[in-house]
Amino acid sequence: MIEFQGHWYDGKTSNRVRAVCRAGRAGPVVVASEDDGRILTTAGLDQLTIPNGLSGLARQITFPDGSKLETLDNAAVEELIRRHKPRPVAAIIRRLETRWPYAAASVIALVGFLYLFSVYGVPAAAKAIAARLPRSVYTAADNLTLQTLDARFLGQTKLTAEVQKRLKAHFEPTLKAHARLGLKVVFRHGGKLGANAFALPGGTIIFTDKMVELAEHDDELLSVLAHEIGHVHYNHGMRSVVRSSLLAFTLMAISGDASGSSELFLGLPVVILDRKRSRGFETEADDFALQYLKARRIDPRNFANLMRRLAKTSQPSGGDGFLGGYLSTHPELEDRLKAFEADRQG
Amino acid sequence: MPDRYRVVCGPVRDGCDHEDAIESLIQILNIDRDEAERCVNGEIIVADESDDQHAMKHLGGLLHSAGLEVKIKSVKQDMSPGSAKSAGVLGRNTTMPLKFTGNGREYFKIWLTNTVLSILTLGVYSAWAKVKRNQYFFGHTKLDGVGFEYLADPKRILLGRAIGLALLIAYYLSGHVPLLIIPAVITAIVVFPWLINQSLKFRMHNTAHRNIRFRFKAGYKEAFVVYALWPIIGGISLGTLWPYVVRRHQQFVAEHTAYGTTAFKFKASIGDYYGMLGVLFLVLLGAAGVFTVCLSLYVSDLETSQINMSVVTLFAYGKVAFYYFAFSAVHKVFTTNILFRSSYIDRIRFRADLGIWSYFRLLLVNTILIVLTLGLYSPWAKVKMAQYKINHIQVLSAADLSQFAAAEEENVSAVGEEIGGFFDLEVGL
Repeated sequence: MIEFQGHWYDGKTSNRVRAVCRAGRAGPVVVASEDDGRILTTAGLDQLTIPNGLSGLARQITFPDGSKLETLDNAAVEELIRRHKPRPVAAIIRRLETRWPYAAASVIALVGFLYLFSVYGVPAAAKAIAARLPRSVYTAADNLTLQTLDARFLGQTKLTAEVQKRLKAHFEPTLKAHARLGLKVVFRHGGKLGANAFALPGGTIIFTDKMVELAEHDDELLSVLAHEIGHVHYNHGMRSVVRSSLLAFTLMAISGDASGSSELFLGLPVVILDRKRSRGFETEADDFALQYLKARRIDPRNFANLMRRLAKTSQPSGGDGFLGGYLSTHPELEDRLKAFEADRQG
Repeated sequence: MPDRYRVVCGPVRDGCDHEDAIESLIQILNIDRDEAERCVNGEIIVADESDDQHAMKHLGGLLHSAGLEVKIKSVKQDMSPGSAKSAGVLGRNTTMPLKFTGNGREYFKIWLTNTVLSILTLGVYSAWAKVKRNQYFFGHTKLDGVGFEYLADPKRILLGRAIGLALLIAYYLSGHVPLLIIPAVITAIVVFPWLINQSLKFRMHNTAHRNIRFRFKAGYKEAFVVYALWPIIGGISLGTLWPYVVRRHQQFVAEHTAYGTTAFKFKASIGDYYGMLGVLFLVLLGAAGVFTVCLSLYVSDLETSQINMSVVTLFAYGKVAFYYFAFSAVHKVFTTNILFRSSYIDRIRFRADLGIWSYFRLLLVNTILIVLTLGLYSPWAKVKMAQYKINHIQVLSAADLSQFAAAEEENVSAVGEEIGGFFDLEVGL
C-alpha cells in the first residue's frame, strides 16, 4: 500500500484541497480529502498520467476526470510508476540531470565538441559553403563593402592619371593570367588607413595612394598585387565571413535560452578566434605571391623591401601591446619575410 | 516620516456608464456591490492609502479610466496607537506572495543535459528540452505557494518546428525566384497576424495554474489591424505615434487572455508610453554623445599611423552593445511595469517595479559572464533574470484564488507557436 499526501485540484475550479492518496497492490488509486475524508476521485493505476519529474518541483498526477494531484513525495510517485510501467529512458535522463559526475562529464563533452566544431568543423563547412555561393553574392559583397569603405575611410585617389595608367599596364599581365577570378584594381586615398592594400571577396583589389607612394619600384607593388590575388584565389574573404557567421550562430544556438541579449555579444570571441585563424590565410597568400614571383622571375625581395618600409613608417599604436599581439593578423614580420629574402633569384 | 498618499474616488464622471463603473470598482477594489453602487452614485470612498506615491498615482489613473472622479491626497501619518487605518491597505487588498524558487545550480544540470542531448539527436530532443525548460521556470514561479504549469506535448512541438523549418526554407528559396518574391512577402504579411494569434493561443492554452488553463482567443481581423496596420502607422509617423502602437499591442494581448472563464482587463493611459519614449530618447542621445567623444579622442591620437583595426572593431562592438542593452532595458522595464499595473482580473490587481538601472546592470553582467564562459553561464543568467522579474512583480488580492472556473476544452495545435517561435515572434512576458 502506497500512501502519500498532497494537494488536489478538481480541474473545474481553482479550488485547492489538502488530500491523501492511497494505492493498494490491486484495486484503484483513491484520493481522499485530508480534512473530512470524503473521496475526491479514484482511478485505475493504468488510467493515471504521470509526467516525468523535474528536480525541485512537485510531482503531478492527472486523473481521467481531469483532476490533478500534486505532491512533493517523489519516492512514492516513482514507486507508482514502477508498479505500472517502469520508464528506463526517463530514469536515465533524470540521472543525467541530477548527478554531478554526469554533469561534469557533459561539460567536458560539450566543451570538447565546441572546440572540435569551431576549429575543424566550421572552417571546413565555411569553405564548402563559400565555394557554392553564386557569383552574384560576391559581386554584391564587393559593391557593398566598397561603398561602405568609401563612405567611412576612403577618399578619391589623388594619384595622377598617368601613374594609374602606368601601374594598370604593369599589372595587366598578372591580372590576365588570373582572369577567371574577376579581378579589378582600384586606387583610393587611404586617409587614416595610411599605406594599405585590400582584396575584397569578389576580386576587387584596392591600393591606397600612400602605398603607391611608399613603393620605390613598380615590382614592389606587383608583389603586393600577387599577395592580394592569393587571397582572392583561395577565397579567404568569403570564407572568413561565412566562418564568423557559422561560429556566431553555433554559440547562439548553444546558449540560445539565455537572457536574450547575449547573442549579440557572442560575436566577440568569434572576432578574436578569427583573427588568429587569419594568420593562416596570410601565410597562404604569401606563399602564393612567392610562387608567382619566382615563376615570373621577379625578385621576391621586392615584397620584403616594401613590407619592411611599411613596418617602419607605421608606429605601433599605444593600444596595441598585449591585445595587439593576439589581435594582429599579420604574422611576425621576420618569419614572413624569411622566405622572400632567403631565395636567390631563379 | 514619509508622507502617505490617499486615493479617494466617487462619484461616476459625467458621460461615463454607471454599470461599467460599478463593475470596474468591484473588480479593482474588491468591494461588494452595495458599496460600489453608493460610490458611483455620490458617496466618496477611500480606495487605498500607502506611502508609495507612484503606486497610488497608478491606482488613481486606473480608477479614472474606469469612469470615476478621483482625488489623491497627501496625509500625514497618524501615529496615535489606536489608529487602525495605518496598516496600509485598509485590509481590503493584501499582497499575495509571488516567488521564484529555482536556482542556478539545479537548472544548470537540466540545461546541460538538454544541450548535450539536443546536439546528439541533431535537434530532435530540443522539443523535449523546451518543455523541461518551461516546466522548470513555470513550476518554480509560485503564487501563494502554488506553482504554474506548462502542459505542452513535446511531440506536437516537434511537429510544429518541422513545419516551421519547411516554411522558412520555402521562404528563403522563394527569394531566389524573382517572380515569387512579391507573393512571398504578401503571404508573410497576411500570415503574420494569424501566427501571432496561434502562438499566443498555444502558449496560453498550455499554461495552467491550480489545474485551470489560461486561454487566449482573438479574431484574425483584429490581429491584422493590431500587428499589420498599427505598426505601419507607427512607422509612417516616424516613431511619434509608436507609443500608441505599443499600447495597442499590450491591450490586445491582455484583453484576449483569460484565466479559465475570467478575462483580464486592461486600462492604461497613453502618457505612460510617451514617458518611455522620452526616456529612450534621452538615454540614446546621451550614449551617442559619450561615444562620439571617446572615438574622436582615440582617433586624434593617431596622426599618420594606421588605425589599429582591432581596437576600432572592439569599440564598435561596445557601442552597438551599449545601444542594444540600453534600448532593451528601458523598453523591457517600462512595458513590463505598465502592463502589470494596468491589468486586473476579478478583484486581483498587479504591480511591477522593475528598475532601468538595475535591469541594465543585470543584462550587462549576464552577458559578460556568458561571453567569458563561452555560453556555460547561460542557465545562471536565465535564473537570475527570472528571479529579478518575479521579485519585482506583486499580486494584490484579498481572495484566496479559489473562485475561478475552468473554460471548455479546446483542441489547440502546436503549429502556430512553433512557427511563431521559429520566426522569432516571442510575444508576451
